[in-house]
Amino acid sequence: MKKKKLQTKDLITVGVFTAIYFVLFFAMGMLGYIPILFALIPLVLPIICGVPFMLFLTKVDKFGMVTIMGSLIGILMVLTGHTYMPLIFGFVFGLLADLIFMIGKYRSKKLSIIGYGVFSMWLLGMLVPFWIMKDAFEKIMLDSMGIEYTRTVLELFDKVAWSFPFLAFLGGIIGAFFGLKMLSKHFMKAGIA
Amino acid sequence: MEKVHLQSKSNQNSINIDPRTKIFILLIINISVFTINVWYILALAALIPVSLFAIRKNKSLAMSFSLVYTVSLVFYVFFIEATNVISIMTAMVTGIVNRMGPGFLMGYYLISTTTVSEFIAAMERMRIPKQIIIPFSVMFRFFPTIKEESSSIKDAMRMRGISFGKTKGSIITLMEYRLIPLFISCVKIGEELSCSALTRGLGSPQKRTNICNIGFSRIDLLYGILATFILVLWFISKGV
Amino acid sequence: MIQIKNVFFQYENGMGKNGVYDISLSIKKGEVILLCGESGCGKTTLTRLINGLIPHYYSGTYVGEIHVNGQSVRETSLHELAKHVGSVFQNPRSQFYCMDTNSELAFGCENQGLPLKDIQERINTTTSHFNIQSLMNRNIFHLSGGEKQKIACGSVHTTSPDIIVLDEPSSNLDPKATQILGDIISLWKEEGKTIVIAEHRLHYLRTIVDRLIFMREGRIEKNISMDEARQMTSKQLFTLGLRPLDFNALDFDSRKHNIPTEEIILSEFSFSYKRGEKVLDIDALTFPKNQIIGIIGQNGAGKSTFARCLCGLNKKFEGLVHTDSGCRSYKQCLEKTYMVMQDVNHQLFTETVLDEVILSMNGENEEKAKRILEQLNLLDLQEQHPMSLSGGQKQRVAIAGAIASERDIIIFDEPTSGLDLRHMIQVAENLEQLKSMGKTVLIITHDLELILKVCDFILHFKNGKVNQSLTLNDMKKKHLIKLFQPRVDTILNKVVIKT
Repeated sequence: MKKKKLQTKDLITVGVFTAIYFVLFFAMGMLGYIPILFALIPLVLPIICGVPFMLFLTKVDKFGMVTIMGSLIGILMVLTGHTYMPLIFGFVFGLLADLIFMIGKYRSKKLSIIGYGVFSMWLLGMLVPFWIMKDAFEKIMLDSMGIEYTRTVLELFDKVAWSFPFLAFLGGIIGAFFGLKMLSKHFMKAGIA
Repeated sequence: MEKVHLQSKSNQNSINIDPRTKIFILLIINISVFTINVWYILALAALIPVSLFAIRKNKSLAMSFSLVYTVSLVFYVFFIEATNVISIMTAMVTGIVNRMGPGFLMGYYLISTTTVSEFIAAMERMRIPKQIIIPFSVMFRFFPTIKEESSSIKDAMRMRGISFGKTKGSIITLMEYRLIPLFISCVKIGEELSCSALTRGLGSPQKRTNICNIGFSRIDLLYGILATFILVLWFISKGV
Repeated sequence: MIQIKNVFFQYENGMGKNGVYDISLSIKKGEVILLCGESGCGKTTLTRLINGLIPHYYSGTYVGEIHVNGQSVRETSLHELAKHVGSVFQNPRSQFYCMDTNSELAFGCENQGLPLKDIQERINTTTSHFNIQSLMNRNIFHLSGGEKQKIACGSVHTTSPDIIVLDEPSSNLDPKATQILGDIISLWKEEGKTIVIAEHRLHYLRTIVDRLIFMREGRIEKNISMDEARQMTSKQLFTLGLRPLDFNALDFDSRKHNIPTEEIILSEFSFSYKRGEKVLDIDALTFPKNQIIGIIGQNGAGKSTFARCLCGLNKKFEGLVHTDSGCRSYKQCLEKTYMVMQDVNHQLFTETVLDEVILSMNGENEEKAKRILEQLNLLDLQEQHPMSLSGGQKQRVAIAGAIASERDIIIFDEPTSGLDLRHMIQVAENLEQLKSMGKTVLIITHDLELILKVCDFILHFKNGKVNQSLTLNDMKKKHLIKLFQPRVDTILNKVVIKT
C-alpha cells in the first residue's frame, strides 16, 4: 500500500538525515576557513556527505523529500548568516535533484549518482557574495592598477570561480560512488539500508 | 546548538521579541548587505543585533562586536579609495567582514534566544506547511543526539586505541570507523523517534495547537520599524 | 476492549524480526496483561499490532482482525488510534520529540488540536499526580533515564487514553526508577485503563498484573492468571522466561569461599567535570585482583565516572592505579583497561566479526583471533557484519575484542539491562570465563540476580564515594535486598477514581 503523498514518517526521515548531513557539512566546512583549503571545499564536502545522502536515498520513494531537504539546508545556512542565497540555491538544486530521482522512479543507480551531483551544487549559493564583491573591486582595480593587471586578476578569478560548479558536481559524483560503496559494505548488511 | 541550552527557562526579566520579528530582521539584514558603497546602511544593519544583545545584558559581546565592526567599516571607507596593493587587500577583507558580520550576529541572536518550540509556534502561526515544520523540528531535536552518539563513539575509539598513528589503515578507514557507527545509530534512533511521535498523533490533519507563548509587543514594533527603515534606505540606494 | 482474532503477521523484510502466528486474544476493559517470553517470541510485535504501528508503520503480510475500543486497527489511522491508545517504549533516549519537558507533556494534546486551557489543565493534573513539578521547564537531554521515562509516561497521561501499551519499559531503569514506573502503572490501573505490558521482569508488577500471556516463537502458549503465577516456583517462572517474583526467593548462599588474592589499589581517585563539585571523591580504594567485582548504587552516584576514570577516558584525571606490574596514570589505564559499553553499537567498527577481533590485537594474528571466537561460540559468525548480529552476539564480539586486547582489567557497563533470563545466564558464563583467564572484571549493574550469580566483591557507590566495599559473602541479605527493592514513599498523589 505505497502512498504517493508524503507521510509523517517520511518527514521525520527527512529531518533526521538533514540533521546528519548538516552536522557533517558544518564540521568539515570549518576547515574551509583556512585560506588554502577554501578552494577544495566544493570538492571535498560533497564527497564526504555522499555517505549519509546515499543512505537517505534508500528511504526516498516519493517526490518532495529531497526538495525539502535542500530547502531546509538552505534555511539553516540563512540562520547562520550566509545571506539568503543558499536558500534559493538549496531549493532549486534540491528540486532539480528530486526531479532527476523521480525520473528513475527512485531506483535507478545511475540517476541517483547524477542527481546527487546536481544536489551538491547548492553550496555555490554560499559563494555568491564573493561574486558580487568582484564587480565592486573590478572598478577599483581598473582605476588604480591599470588594464593589464585587472585583466589578469579577473581572468584568474573567473577560472577559479567557474571551476567551482564543476568541482561541486564532480565532488557529488565521487561522493555518490563512495556512498554506494558504504551502502554495500556496511549499511545493507546492518539491515538499515 | 544554543537553542537547546537556553530554552525552557522562560526569560522573565529580559525582553522577549517574537520569533517572527527576529526572522524579519534577519531577512532584511541579509538583503541589505548587498549594498556596495553605502556604508551607513551596513552600520545600521549591524546596530540592530548589537542593540538586541545589549538589551539582553550581553554587554561584552555587544561591545566587542561594535569595536571590531567600526574599525572594519572605517578601514573599508578609507582604503577603498587607496591605490596600493595592501590597502586593496585590506579593503577586500574588511568588505567581507562588513557584509557577513551583521547577518552572522543576527543569526546567532536568533538561535541563542529562541527555543525550538517558540520557533515552531512562530512557523505554525505563519501558516508554514507541516511538510517544512516537522522535518525542521526533528532536525533540531536530533542535533544534540548526534553530538551524544558521536562523543560516545569517539570514546570507544580512544579506549580501543584506534587512532591515526597506531592503527593500520588510511585516514579514510579512520573516518569510516568514526562515521559509520554514527549513521547506523542515528537511523535506529530515528526509527524509534518516529514510532513514538506517530503513536502520539503527529501528522494528524487536525490543526495543531501550541502551548508556547509568543506574541507581538511594543518592542517588536520598534525593531520592525527600524528594519523597515533600513529596507527603504536600501531601495533608495539601489535607485540612485 | 481489545479483541484479537486469528491474527497472522510477518514483517516485510524480516531481518531479525519475528512475526506472530494465529493469535487470538480477548482483553477486558481495565485488565492489566503481561506479555512474557524470550527475546524474539513476538511480544513486541503484539504490542505493535495493538497500538497500530502495524500496519501503519511496519509493513508486511497481515491477516486477521484486531479491534481496539470498537475500532478496527487496520482501518483506523494512527493519529485516530493515538487518541485511545498510548504507548511507552523501551529506550528513554529516543522516545521524546521535543526538547523541553513542558512541550513534551503537551505534545500529544497539541497534535489533537485541543484548546490551550485544556492542555494546560491536563499538564497541571499530570505534574501533580506524578509529582514531577521539579522536572518542569527543563531540557530533556539533561534528565536521567528514569526521569525521561517519567516524562514519557506523563506525555501519555495527558492525552488520557483508555488503553496503554508498554514495551519493556523498565529495561534501562535503575531499581528506584523501576519502582516509580510500577507506581505509575498502578495509578493507571486505578483510573480504569486497560494496560498491556511486554516485560521480562515481574517483581515490580507483582501487585498490578491480572493475567500473564506467555508467548513462544510467535504463538501464545499459556494464558494464566496472576494468582496461578504467584503459586509458581522460580524454576517454573524461568520456563516462562521470567525473572523471579520476589527477591527473597533468590539464592543467596551459594557463593564459593573466596581465596584471597592480590589487590589493586586506587589512590587519589577524585574527579570533577567542570570547576564544580567533585563527582567522584575517593582517596583510596582497594579491591581484589582477578575477581568479579560488582559496582552498585543509584544513578548519579558516580559509577559511570568511576568506570571512565579507571579506563583512562578522562584526560584531566590525576588518580593512580597500583597493580603488581606498576603504577598507572590515566594514559596507561587507557591501554590496560577495556570497557564493554552499555550500547555495544558504539564500539563495533569493522566489516566482519573476525576483523573486529583483529582490530583489538597488537599484531595481526588470525589464528589466535579464530581461537578466541571459538571460545565464545562465534566462529561460524566470523564473516558476518557485526551490526547484523543480535544484541547478545554483539556483546560477545565486544568481549572477544576485550580478550584479544590482552588487557587485564575489563569493565562492563550494564551488561544485562533489558536481557531475558536465559541471556543473562549466558553473560554470567562469559564473565566467569574472563575471570578464569586471569582478568579482573568489574560490572556496573542493577541486576541483583547477576550479582548473586557471579560477583565476588561489591563496591557500593553513594554520592561519589564508596559507601561500602566488601565481599558478597559479607554482605547481609536484608541489606542487599533493600538496595534493589527500595521502598519509595509517597511517590504519587493518589488520584480520585472517576465514576
